Amino acid sequence: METDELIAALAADATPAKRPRLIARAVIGALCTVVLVLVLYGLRPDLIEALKSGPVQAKHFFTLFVLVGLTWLLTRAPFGERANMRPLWIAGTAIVVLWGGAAAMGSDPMGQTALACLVSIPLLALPVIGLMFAGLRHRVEPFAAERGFLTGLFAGAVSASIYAVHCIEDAPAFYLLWYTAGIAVSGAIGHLIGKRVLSV
Amino acid sequence: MRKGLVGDRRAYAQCLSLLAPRMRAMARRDLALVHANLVEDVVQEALLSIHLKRGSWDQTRPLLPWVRIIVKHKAIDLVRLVRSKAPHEPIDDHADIGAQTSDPLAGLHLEQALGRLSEKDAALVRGHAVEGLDAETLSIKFGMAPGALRVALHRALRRLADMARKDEEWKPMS
Repeated sequence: METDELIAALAADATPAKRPRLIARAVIGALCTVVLVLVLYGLRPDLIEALKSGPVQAKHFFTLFVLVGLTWLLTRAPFGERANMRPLWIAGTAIVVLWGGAAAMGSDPMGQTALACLVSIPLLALPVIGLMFAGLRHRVEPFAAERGFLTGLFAGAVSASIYAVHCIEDAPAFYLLWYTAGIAVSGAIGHLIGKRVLSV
Repeated sequence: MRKGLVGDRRAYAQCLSLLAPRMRAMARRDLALVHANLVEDVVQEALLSIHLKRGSWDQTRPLLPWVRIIVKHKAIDLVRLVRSKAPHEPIDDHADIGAQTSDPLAGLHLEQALGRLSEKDAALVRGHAVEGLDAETLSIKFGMAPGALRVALHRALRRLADMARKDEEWKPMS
């Protein structure tokens, strides 16, 4: 095929350019997750009371902190270059240390709903993952797997932040372990999808 | 390119034609001499990618750095693909190495990807390209409404890009 022929065919394609619209997609995905949590899971019965207590606030701060951090990491990566992953390893180490400390102080890591939590967070992340990858497909992504991983982690953090209003486990050793694991599973899903669907 | 994004097709075609030689120069710089035969393949795939992803170009920024990155990574992908398919190439087969000839293999990659599309898709892409037909003639030829034709062409181009990317059967030198 000649390059001039290709250019003619491309110019003839009048379908409007697809825009990534990542922010809009992320917000819609998050709203889907909110609806799913409200409909399928419901709020924890003592939510208003619980939000007044320190440990519960700490749990919500933890998920929101992770979310803000990942948003920062995702938006900061300069176009065409690898993202700086060091903050991720630092945060991961910090979480492990905090978890060790919490567990040593007698906080219960297993709780009652560990498995539900580990499964729910990636599942609830799926709307955000689906919509964001639909947008990312329209972008030039040289480092497909890495971008997929970060996007998966971000979706996991959104999901965990929302799931937290249902979850009745407030022990630091529980959420530091299982929430983080759920977010990591979302990241792994994102890595796999990214490798397959994203490209330059 | 900005005009092309709001639907001025002639400006868009002109923009792509202006970009192509610069992309060729970029690709030539990125590819080692042994892979010089891939230059046109890189340019074509980068053009396809630019077309499909033009909506993500930030219009407040200059266009060329964006194009530069696409070309660079298409070059990397293609070289990787060629290496994995043809790990060993006897030098005897390349007596003309370094000689300046017009390359009959130019554009082979996309040609082969085109060959793996369904007949209708390939005809759609070619119809525009080779014969330069306008939308009305084409819609009569394929028996499709102009709107459906537009969608069909877009899908055909998208599938072409996917084919070129996945590329399971490509043998570069046979």
